[in-house]
Amino acid sequence: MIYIISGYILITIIIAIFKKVDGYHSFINGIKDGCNVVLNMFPSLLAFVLIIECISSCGIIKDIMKITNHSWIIQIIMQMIVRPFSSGSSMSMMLNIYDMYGVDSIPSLFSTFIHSSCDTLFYMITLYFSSFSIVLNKKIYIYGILSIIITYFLITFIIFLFF
Amino acid sequence: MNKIWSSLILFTFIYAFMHNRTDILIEHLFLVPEKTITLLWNIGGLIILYNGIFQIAIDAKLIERIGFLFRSFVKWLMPNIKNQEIINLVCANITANLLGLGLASTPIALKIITKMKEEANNNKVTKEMLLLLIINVTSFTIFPLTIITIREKYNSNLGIYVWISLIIITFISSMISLIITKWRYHDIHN
Repeated sequence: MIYIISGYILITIIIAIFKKVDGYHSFINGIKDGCNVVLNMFPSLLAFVLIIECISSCGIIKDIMKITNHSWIIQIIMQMIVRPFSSGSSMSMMLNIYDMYGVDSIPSLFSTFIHSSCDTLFYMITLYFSSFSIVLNKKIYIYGILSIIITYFLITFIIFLFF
Repeated sequence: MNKIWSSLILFTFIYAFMHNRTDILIEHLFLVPEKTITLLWNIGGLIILYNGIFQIAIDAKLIERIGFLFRSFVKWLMPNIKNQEIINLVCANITANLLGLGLASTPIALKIITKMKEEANNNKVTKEMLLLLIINVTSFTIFPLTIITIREKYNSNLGIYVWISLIIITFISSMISLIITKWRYHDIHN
């Protein structure tokens, strides 16, 4: 895995040298953009950590766990619902699951696949269409949600097949 | 999001009050900022680092080099578009998703939407715009670098399997949803 990551970085830098691009300055510019992205993530992340703390400390999860033995299924379904709305919330849910069950367990694999194989649908719809004053119709939402449901089915299928 | 968030908070407070757990709840509440900052410290740094490397890839015009591979696919997918520039931009968008440059794909997609709106000359959503949205939502990627590095940081042993199955999942899901959309969706003319 380390070879793939370092190979990707090396190849980009080698191509940049060959094409005589100012690598240092583009790196700095990228870092600046990255700082903005991470700072924009902070408020939604804090709001989400607040929710997680409230839910986990008010004891409702313990009470649900008494009824059902598989509490991670509920967490995964929550993440499936949250993923089309907000990327930061889904990321913090994923890290929470890593901490609780270990990184190589089935719940963690589920949540990794959910986080990285689809994107924030509703945010994208507002960004793409509403900002250019394009009139939306209902079918856009139907097809978008359909594609996300297809992805979720595939994830479940692949996990039962391979892991 | 607003209604869900506030009603959940209200619900947890009432629940804790009913079960006499209010003191534990308040105690955990004061730990929230600290926990958030630790999360950002661990993950945000990685995102920033990769963003720098991705910017080099964008400036070295890597995207345009690989983009021409998808030209015939895009021509099959969107046969109504005759403008060569839009086709090139869609190819660039697919490539940016492919290399895991999620942040780079959004500005390209916005540029495509403005061009498509000029072509269509009205305020309706066209089939091509919907196809573009689905390309970006089910983003087919070959190098999901950020997620793999986060997993490495948590000492994962399954790195290569996760990588391969992510490629399979994103490829099949984007193909299926694109074909369904191309086959079933029709523009509303009125």
